[in-house]
Amino acid sequence: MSKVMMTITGSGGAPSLEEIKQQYNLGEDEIDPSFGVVEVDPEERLYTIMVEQDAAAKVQGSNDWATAGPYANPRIATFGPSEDSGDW
Amino acid sequence: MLGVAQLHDRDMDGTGVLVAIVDTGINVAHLNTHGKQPVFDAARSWAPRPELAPGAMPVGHGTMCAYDVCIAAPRCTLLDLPVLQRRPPGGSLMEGLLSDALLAYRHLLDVMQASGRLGEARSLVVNNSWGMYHPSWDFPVGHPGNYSDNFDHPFNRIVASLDRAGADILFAAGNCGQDCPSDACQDVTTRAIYGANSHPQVLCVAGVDVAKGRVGYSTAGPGRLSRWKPDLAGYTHFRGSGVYPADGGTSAATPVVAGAIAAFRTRFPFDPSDPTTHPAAVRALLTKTAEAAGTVGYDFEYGWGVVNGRGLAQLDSLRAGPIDMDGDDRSKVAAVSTP
Repeated sequence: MSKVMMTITGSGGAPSLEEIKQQYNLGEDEIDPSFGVVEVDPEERLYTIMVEQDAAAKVQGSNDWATAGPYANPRIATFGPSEDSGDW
Repeated sequence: MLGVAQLHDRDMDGTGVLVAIVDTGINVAHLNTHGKQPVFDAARSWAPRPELAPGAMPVGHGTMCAYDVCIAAPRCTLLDLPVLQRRPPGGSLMEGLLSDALLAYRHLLDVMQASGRLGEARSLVVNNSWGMYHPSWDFPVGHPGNYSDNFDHPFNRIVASLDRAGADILFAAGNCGQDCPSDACQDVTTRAIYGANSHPQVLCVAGVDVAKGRVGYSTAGPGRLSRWKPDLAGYTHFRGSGVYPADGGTSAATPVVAGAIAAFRTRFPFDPSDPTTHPAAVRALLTKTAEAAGTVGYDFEYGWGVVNGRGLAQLDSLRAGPIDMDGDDRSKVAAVSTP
């Protein structure tokens, strides 16, 4: 796992990717722009970003946001018949 | 066996119900040439990369799941979310990353929260025939970033959010059953229902064959997030989609149950103002109507029993008994077999 998830909880609206990069001094290659800032719990205003594992330590709480992580980004796989196992 | 005839006799066929297949992708043409004519909603489908074409994906595991939903819900509206796209060299399983599933769930939250057309049903059933096979894929238990045992993990949080938004969410129990585990389980067969597959706000589905015997690879409980998993069993190991000689794994059992729920939702759609239509209530009805198998009551191999479409078809209202509002059915556990 080279990338991990971090969470951010804010009292205001959703933080932008640029705001997060500036707040935590993250380089362009340290945060995943295609993942973006994803709201996972609207009731708690909880957002998730994805960063390089080595950059996770930079993402620590601030006056505006509380942070948590790093969280694992494990592989997932199908639970179907194995085409090679003769499972039928 | 599943009670499809009884469901269809009461016009419970999935009409107007959205069913999201979070998987490897659906090939709608294959479904059509194999006798299934569901509606396909391309606009509400989603893919993690622009080059992927929902609905026109290569025939494979996701198409099998879509077909198996259509057994009970032939008139459902399918949404394709092809998040598992990688086949490791020499491997037979399709893989992905949990982060792509998280993005798919964000999309489904948007679907649920979008205002619908007047008279449009708002029901969404979400099928997930995937998961983790081994603890080594994760941060260790006890690490604050662990996924398998941690309600605070972002994916477990968004599962709860989607449930609160009104979606019926199903996860396969897995193929790490003690009698015949997949090689990918690396012989870890106890407490092997990880993360969201064991979430209290989802239905966790074990596998039985057409004689209602548990298939040896179906992972037994207890689960990690909620102990009382699996919830019930669905049918697997049958000639169906034509994708494989037999539709199999707990992967096939799960969409069989998803289809029964989609059929049920045709008559009893989700209504945010009516708690008797909320996912927790429907989970309780599925387990209450399940046909007994294994031990009478609950056990960790079959859950509450085998999915019973006939029993669902006979319900005239959703007020069929006490509603388990906390969603973990713990209050229903009167007699439990412990391993």
